Amino acid sequence: MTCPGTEELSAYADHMLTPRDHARLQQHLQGCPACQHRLGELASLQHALRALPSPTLGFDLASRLEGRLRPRPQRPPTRRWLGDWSGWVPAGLAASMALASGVWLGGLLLGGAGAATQPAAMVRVFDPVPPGGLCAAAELCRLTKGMP
Amino acid sequence: MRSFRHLDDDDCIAHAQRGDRAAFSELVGRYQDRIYRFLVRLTRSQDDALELTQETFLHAYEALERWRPEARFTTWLFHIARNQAFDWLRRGKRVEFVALEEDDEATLPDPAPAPDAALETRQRFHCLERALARLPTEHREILLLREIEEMSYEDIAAVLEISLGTVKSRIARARTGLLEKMPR
Repeated sequence: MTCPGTEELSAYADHMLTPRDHARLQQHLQGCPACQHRLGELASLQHALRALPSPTLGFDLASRLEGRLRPRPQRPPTRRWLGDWSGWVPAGLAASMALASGVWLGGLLLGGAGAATQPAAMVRVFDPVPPGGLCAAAELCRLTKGMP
Repeated sequence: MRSFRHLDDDDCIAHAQRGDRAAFSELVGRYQDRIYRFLVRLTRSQDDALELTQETFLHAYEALERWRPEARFTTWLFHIARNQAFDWLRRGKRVEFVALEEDDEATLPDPAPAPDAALETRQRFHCLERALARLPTEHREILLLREIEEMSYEDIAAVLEISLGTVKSRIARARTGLLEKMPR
């Protein structure tokens, strides 16, 4: 094998050759002092660069950037276990309660309560209220049966 | 304030994407010095590198919506930093390189105990920094990514948006160029 070019040696130093090419070059290096020297230079250069002291900022950059970051709209995390139906739960519950309340109130008006109150007698609540009273037919307002 | 130190980058980003600025601050803390040291050697100016480091993170914050977990955060961030630097250099905003040891004695660790050895080490570092500064920008940046940031060829290709073959050949030419500029 003739001596490899710099690109091949450089890739060899970085373990970026195919296994076949790596083995071939490795064999050549065993018998070529010139290529060994060139590879040694590359390795020393890499070692020297990695040994350079690292300049640092020396302060907390995040605190300096704080005032320059535009507020992002807060988004809750996606609740995958409820899927897309998670937003419907509170609304559905409220609708169910409203419906149940309406059915119960309607039942009272239609005689769903236990008291045997004739529909015609209920109009007495519209009669004139006696002095000091709260209702013309207070006994009709004391229905307890049928209440949830 | 809630701590995000125990979370990996992807989880921090997910929190930041949902509007949690403390999570983004954690990411800034993790990467600020890496981005700064890359930029200070790329631009050869500490003041410009400081400004560009800030711009890099501001730009990253604005672009968080577009980041996807398939991309490594490191390469994505360095890609932004590199583009910021090249825009800056193209606009002609250059200043003379200030030797690091003149301004950063407090931040540079002293690796050698004896005075003569310490002086020799500093001189060696100084020569290497000066040789690096004299390289063409494209050679300097690829050596910084490979040798200082220890990125893989694949990550370098992603940062610089070049092919693997180009990474291989450019690294080789950069190393040759740097060796030629080093005192024998």
